[in-house]
Amino acid sequence: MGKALGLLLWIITAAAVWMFAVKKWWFPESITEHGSLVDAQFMRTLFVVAAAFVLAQVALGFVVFRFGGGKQGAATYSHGSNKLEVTWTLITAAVFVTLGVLGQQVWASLHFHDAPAGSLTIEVTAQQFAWNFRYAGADGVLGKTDPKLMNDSTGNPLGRDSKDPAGDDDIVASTITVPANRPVKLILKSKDVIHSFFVPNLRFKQDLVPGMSINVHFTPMKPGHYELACAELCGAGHYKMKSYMDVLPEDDFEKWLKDKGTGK
Amino acid sequence: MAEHEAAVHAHHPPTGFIRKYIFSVDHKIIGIQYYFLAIFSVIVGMTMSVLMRLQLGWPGQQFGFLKWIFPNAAADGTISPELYLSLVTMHGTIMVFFVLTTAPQGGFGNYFLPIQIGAADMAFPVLNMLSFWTTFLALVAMIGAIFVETGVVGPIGGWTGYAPLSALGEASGQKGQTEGVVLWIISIALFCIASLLGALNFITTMLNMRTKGMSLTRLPLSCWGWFTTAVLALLSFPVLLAGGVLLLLDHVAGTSFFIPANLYVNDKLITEHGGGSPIMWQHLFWFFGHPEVYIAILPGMGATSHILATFARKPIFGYRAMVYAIFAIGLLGFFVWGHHMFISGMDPRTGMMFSLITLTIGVPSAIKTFNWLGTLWGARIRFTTAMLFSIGFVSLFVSGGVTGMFLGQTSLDLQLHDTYFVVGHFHMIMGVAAIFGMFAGTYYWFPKMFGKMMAEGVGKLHFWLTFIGVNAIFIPMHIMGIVGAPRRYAFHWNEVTGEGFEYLKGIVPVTKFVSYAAFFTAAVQILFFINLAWSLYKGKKAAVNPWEATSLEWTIPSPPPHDNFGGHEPTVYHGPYEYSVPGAKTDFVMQTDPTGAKAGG
Amino acid sequence: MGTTVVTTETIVKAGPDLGSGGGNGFRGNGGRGPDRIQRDQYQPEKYRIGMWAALASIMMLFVALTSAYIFRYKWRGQDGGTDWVALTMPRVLWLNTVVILLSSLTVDIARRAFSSGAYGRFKRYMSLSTMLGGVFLVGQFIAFKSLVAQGIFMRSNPHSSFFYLLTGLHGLHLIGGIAAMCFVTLKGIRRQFEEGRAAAVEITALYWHFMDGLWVYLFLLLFFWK
Repeated sequence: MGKALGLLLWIITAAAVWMFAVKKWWFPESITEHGSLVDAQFMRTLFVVAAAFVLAQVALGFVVFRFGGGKQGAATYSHGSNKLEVTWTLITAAVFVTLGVLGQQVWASLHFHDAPAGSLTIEVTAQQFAWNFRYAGADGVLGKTDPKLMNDSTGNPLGRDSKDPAGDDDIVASTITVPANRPVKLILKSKDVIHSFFVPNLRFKQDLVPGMSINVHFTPMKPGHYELACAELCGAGHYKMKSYMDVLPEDDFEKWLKDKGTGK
Repeated sequence: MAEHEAAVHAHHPPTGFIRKYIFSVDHKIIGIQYYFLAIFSVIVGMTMSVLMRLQLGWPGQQFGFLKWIFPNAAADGTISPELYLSLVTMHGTIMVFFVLTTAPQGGFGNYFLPIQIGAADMAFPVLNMLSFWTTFLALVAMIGAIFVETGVVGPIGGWTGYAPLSALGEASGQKGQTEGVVLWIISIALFCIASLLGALNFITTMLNMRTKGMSLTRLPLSCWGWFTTAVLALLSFPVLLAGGVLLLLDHVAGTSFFIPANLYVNDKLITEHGGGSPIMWQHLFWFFGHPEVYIAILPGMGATSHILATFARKPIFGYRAMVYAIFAIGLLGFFVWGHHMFISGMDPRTGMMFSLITLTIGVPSAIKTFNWLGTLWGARIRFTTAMLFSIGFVSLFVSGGVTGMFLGQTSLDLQLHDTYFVVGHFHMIMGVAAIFGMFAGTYYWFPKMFGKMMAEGVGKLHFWLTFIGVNAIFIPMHIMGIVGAPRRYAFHWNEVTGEGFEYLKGIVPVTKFVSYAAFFTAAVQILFFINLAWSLYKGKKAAVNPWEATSLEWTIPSPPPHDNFGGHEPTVYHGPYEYSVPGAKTDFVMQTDPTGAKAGG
Repeated sequence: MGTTVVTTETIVKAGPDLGSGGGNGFRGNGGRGPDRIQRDQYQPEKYRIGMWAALASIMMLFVALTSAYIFRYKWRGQDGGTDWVALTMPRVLWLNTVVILLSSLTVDIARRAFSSGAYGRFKRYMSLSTMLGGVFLVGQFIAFKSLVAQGIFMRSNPHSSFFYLLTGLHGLHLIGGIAAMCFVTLKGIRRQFEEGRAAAVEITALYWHFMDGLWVYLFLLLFFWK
């Protein structure tokens, strides 16, 4: 019995390690500056965690294998060892705290600084179960909105106040288009319940909370067509609250913005 | 007030059926009542999970039998997104409250804490009865939430019930969010009250009712598990109760604690509410929610330690370190709730603090693991079913614990939060590890509780298949999370209709594999239920001490008499884990054995 | 084992009597007694421990609600609305504060009287405290009514919501305290008094002091904080 259980523990450990090692199922490609840092931190953590996991499971398998035979003499009579306790407490504490401190760097770079100058600002308003992305247009100013004017059926989901001329050149889209290599600042809002802005390729996620306006920023690097998902349960249609993020080369983006601005 | 109890428990066993088995004040009967309440709940909760896996593996497909299970909600034989989400909510709520909180603490704790400390009953037996029946009422309300609305089997907001989705009621335009959510909140509020009464009773019992010689360092580790759990419950459930009351008021009384102004929901501007904070609910909820994780797992840790020592035939390695580690985990558990909220819009600076404290919980957890390994080192293991499940617990505790190192880091949460990585992580640790603790407890204590042995052969088969099954379900979920599969989705990619997310196409085989593993594991549990039922009636008669264990419950008949120790009070001479003492006649020295007094402890 | 038999008989005989005596706490001795006879003796400790545990959990309830109160206060206006309208305190609350402080004093006099053996004095002061408790509740009712007369309801604004909720929950807990005081004044206490068993009175007094302190705290929080 002991040998069988020991072997099973080792097999399960090996299977788990295999799953993480083959990378057949892995992160989608990272397309942001901070994304590669997140991935690096993940790999660092994976290394430590895998070591702890394998050591513990293999040791468990070993003791079960070795001391489960039933044929050896009496069990060792021991109440433990304070020296050992202190040793492994200090070692784990040092490793875990180091890991924790390292993990804060990316976070700090994203959240402890305002968006860099020259960022493109986009207002993101989530609603059940769609996304609205608003660009300020040529004047660089977002038009006034009033919740009382919100009306999904007449095509004014954001409640744009037509009396404000600043809003005349605003661009509203249901997918988000951004330039490559330029910092993007998002102003995140929600009309109804909590949603969450999640583009796996960005290595970025942030809740959109009604009653709050949350500013975030990141810099996409690689042009492409990426999927955007809602990551906070928002109702029956949560699973299909899908949109896209298009990252265009700077020139193409300017062209897109111009076409959008004049085309409406 | 507690003042009434003395009159009831006058040491004559009650004779009427109702007083003896229904409204009993005997902690043993109440423990069994809690245990079977949990068994009922786990069957409901597990069935729901199987239906969820059916939808996830084969989204939108028709299954004839669904019409039979849900004549209204699934009239066409498919699981709608609303129905799916209500299954998610109810599976989570029922499992967390009525299984993971109820069986280890209310069930085994109630039954064995008084016996292991040498008491005739809990400190407040009538209060104990009230706790159970309040829990029962809570379950009735929760089951009511399943039936109260058409098209769904309960609220759809998840067990975390995030506001404002859960607070809007009719205005949300979502099924399950009116009467369903009201009953759900009432049920949780009742459950809070029941748990508070129970916790108060546990704490008083352990502090005040210990028998002669039962000093704190002679308590079995299972008692420390139950005690710490009771302290956590005493301090965290009031916070959930407060949150629940506020949520209920928002829902039915028109207040605005959690509902902000100018919500435009379901094509309507909501003008009745304004100014509330959705984040406040999350703070209140998770201040309770994180300790709740430890409420689920600490009794399992205690029971596992107890059982490992018994069948390793060795004293526990580092008894004091084990007790301190339990306390440390419990204490730190109160300062980490924010790690559920890194990306919620909370101040990112606080997120950093929460992250650091979270990682330090790894330290006492590692201490526990080391000490379990130390206990098994040089052991002479007896592979009973209870022992197998305890070893399984240690393995699952490691597997489920280490992934917390990822989720506790702010920057990694940017990617992993609310994905299947989280689902895999918490199921591994507070789901199956805690359940393995319960299985271990069941196989270990069943002979004492019912006077019959369980069938060991079937039990072992149950272990092997379950252990393989749970690993096959939950390890792949981590991988799905790395790919970026969000949780609480009715499906990720539908092969038939081509709906869903392209980047998640690749995980379809993994999803199906997990579903098959879930069906397999669920089916295997039938072995357990049959074993349980069969052993109750036909099991071999249990001796006083079938496992040759040392603690007090093994000094009295199986099942124990009404007042446990038959009118005398045991005297304790040693610590609880005096196994393989050199020079002793047997390889175990009972706690009550005065002749082996040299054994120390 | 001989003593065991004797013990059991004692218990069987003593059982009903102890029962009629109200709360005797004869199970448990904190790990001190050698056998059943002592075990069945009056053990006040468990009621004290139980009460402290209960107070800890009640405290957590109000700590949670206080955090919510402060959080919500700081949040006001976050989403554009300035919805927090501070209530004008109903004047009767001043009177109520005096009444409940006074009741704490009388409860303590009663408690001391009980332990020093002045039964008549205990009874007088405990009845007085119960009455003061009742007066306080009536005062709260008048305060509620005066607010309702001004058209201020639970739903009116966050401050009124918290006012009704916090004082209402405090009132509910107070009703429990009043029930306990009625109990120790009226029922089954004579015998306990004769046997010098003060636990019921002590924990009732403790609970009442806590409720008193809680009221003062809520009063300051609701009307004097910020």
